Amino acid sequence: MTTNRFEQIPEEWLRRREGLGIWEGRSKAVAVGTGASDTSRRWDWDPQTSVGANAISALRRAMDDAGVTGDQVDGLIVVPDTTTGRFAWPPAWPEDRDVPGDMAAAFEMVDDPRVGMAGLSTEWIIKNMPELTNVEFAAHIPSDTAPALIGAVEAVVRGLTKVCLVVKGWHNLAGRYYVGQGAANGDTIATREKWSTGWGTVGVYQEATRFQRYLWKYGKRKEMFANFVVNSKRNGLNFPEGFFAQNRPEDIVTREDYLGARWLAKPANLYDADIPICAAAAFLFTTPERAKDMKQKPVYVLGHTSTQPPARSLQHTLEEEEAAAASSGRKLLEAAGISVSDYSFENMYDGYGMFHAIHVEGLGYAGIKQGDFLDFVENEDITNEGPHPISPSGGNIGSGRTRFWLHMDTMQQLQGRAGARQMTGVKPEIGVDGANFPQNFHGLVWGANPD
Amino acid sequence: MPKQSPVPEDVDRGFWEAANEGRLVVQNCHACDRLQHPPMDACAQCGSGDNLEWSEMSGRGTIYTYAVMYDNPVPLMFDDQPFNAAVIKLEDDPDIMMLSHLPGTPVDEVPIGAPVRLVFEKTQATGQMVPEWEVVTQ
Repeated sequence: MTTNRFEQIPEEWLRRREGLGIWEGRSKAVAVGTGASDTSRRWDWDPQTSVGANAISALRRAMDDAGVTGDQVDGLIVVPDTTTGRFAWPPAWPEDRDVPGDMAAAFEMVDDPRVGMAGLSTEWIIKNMPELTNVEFAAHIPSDTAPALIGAVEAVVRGLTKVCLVVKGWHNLAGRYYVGQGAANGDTIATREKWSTGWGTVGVYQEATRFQRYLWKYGKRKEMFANFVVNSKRNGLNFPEGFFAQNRPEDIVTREDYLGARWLAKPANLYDADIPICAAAAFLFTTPERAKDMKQKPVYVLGHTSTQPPARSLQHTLEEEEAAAASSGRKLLEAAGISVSDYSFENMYDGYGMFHAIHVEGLGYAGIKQGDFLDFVENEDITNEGPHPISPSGGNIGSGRTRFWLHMDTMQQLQGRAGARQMTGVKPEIGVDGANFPQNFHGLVWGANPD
Repeated sequence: MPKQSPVPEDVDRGFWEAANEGRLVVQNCHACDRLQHPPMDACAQCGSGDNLEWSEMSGRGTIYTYAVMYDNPVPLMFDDQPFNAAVIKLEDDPDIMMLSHLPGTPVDEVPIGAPVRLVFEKTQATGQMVPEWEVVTQ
């Protein structure tokens, strides 16, 4: 029975301001295990590939990875949002299938019929994982993996849980979302979307305009981004949990492929965007003391921060985005009590790819300053074999839209078990990651050691 | 090029009524002396909805940035792809931005930083006028 329940991360747990000093929870919580479900492009309507089933699979794999049994888990954080885009509910069920009926036969469902198919909840997970018999702390943390990880870390530091699981899932239903749906459909338009969709803009548009401004401001060329995407795709094919490694292992993307890809919103093309997929991942956090008898080496959380400045007008400008990223960079260093040269690697968000440039410039990683990223990725060794790995996970571009590969890779790199992605040009001691946009960001600093 | 007709709602009715009169107005909080766009029920700075009014703009601006839409979501615009979608900053307050298809400017020939002037276009479904922007040629 849960005794502590949150429907969102308590505001006082977040570190939003600069000047807060070293985080008082530094190295008092560790990540030990992680696991991902199998991946697929779209849901095939089978209950065993639903987002609920994927979440259960990921949670069990994370427990196995850490060497923990369900009865030892006393905390559970679930990200209830699982959509990869915008879908109507209920969806157009296949004519010959009773999908809700199949789900009800396979799982214990809750009052909201979407949960398990197009959403998750702690109630649904606990009902369908009978091995979780001792959950005393449960929380829904909206949106994404990164804030959920911060929630788990803070919950451990604050003594609300000693062994805490976090799970995030993604469902991707049939159809091309956005196009001709919702506000885009018809010859009139209402709601706030009249200011954006009304001009035929969507998704990648805003970042494409910031990318265009960036190219103009710093005198760079779009072609200079190619090595970053090629490297991310390569890292993705070396990520066995990822979509492309599992489903399209032959899908090597070359510089020529990138430069010849179809435009979405020029200067953004197909390979600057991520592919929506079905997947789930789970992470297991605990105290350093409790981790001693677990199966994997603990990864220490050295600091975290959150940055969410509102846009002044219609959309964030490049300059607002750069300022947000720079603030996050400073706050992460301050929280962890380190200097930027202490970073062995970075795993910042990349869906869309250009976000990665702004994040890295904001960090100052590898000496990269504002306007430098394209020169760096074009001229330096950015592979996992080099001295300054860039996006060693491959991120969303490399393995599909989840916003969690980055965290899994950070853990695995620091634990020395990233397989073919394991970095060799630098000893992974401190890594930094976070998602998603610079102007809507939650980030963490992780260490192989507590100091 | 064709656009969906915006449906005026309480929060933005003043904007669309002015557009039908050939005027560009932006919401202003006279307590904060601060413009904001898109319109909201309250001032984003002071949180009050009591001090909002409509202020008429000069109709001059500059191109801040743009993208060329090849894969837009609105079927009404499919036949016009690719098309420019620019972000305009108003001369009255460069923090205030609006979108534009830049009528008269060829795709890929968008001059970032160039001055633009306000025009209005009639949308087909309801006749609602919408603001657009043209590059000012010297």
